[in-house]
Amino acid sequence: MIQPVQNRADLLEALEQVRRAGAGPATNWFATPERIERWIGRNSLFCLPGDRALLILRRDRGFHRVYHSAADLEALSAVLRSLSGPLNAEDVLIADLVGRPQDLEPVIGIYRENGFSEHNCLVRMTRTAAPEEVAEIEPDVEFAGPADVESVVAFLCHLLDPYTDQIPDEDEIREAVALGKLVMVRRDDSLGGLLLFETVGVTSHLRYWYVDDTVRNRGIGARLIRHFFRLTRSSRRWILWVASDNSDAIAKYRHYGFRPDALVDRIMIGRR
Amino acid sequence: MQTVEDILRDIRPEFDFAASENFIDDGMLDSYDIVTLVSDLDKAYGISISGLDIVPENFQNIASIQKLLRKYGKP
Repeated sequence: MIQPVQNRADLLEALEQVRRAGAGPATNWFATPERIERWIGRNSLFCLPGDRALLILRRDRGFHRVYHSAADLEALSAVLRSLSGPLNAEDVLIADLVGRPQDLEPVIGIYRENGFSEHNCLVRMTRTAAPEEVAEIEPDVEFAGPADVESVVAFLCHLLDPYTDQIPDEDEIREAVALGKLVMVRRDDSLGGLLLFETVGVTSHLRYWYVDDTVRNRGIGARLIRHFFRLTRSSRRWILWVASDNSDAIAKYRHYGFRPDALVDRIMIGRR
Repeated sequence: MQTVEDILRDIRPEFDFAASENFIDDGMLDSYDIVTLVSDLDKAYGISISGLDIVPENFQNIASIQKLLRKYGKP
């Protein structure tokens, strides 16, 4: 039976029970404590306990994301089979399965057996070379401010696929603004382009880099990414995720030194 | 047999893992890299690391990974 997650301790205990029963690391649940607390605070997190397995459901923008922790594939299949009944939201389910392609195939097979199909596939690209020194500050690239939060969310919602992209909500954008992790270029009092990133230690994650269709081919994207490399010049590794069939974007990332690494994100969709 | 350092170097050749005491806080490994690392350790040492052991503190540095391997009877 699907239950709301009331607090993080209960969720950790449920995960721990699965871990105690399990021999292998069958999971796609990698949430940070801060994010878990935020989702619980919004009443958007649910769980479905099974025999040696646990499904965690997170209500997103009109659908649910599915995360699993299972002792083995048999336990995963059984708990996915039991996933039915009202979810108090639309009946689209999305699961991100992240790992090396050969390691993921058995798990993908289990999801397929339980009514899921492939929606999209992302590849991770990594840049490890030191960026070129950028002597000049890009004149029209600026940090986003609190007043920009609403328009940034609207911009991203307009551009992104909610199933594929983990579209940040206003709180996440506000946090990025406060940390100086969101830069933008304005054009005619509107948002011409933006770049949002996160940095942990020596790794910077380029989460979003977009230029509005109406102002393309004016060098805005290039100035944003040069500014990003300038801001993260102490990093040693830069990562991003991109759709595997988006050859234009992949070519652009290659131009800036990114190369595919071993990880893919197979995004599965199921409808109940 | 590959050492822990060899396996880490295969996963992320750009980093000097010996110089870090906390791979995760230092940004050298993220959750997804740990999944890859567990898979490689399983294959290299012929073990199956329990889900119970897949917690950040077991992958903080080379010493903590070696301690985990000793638990599975590997030097």
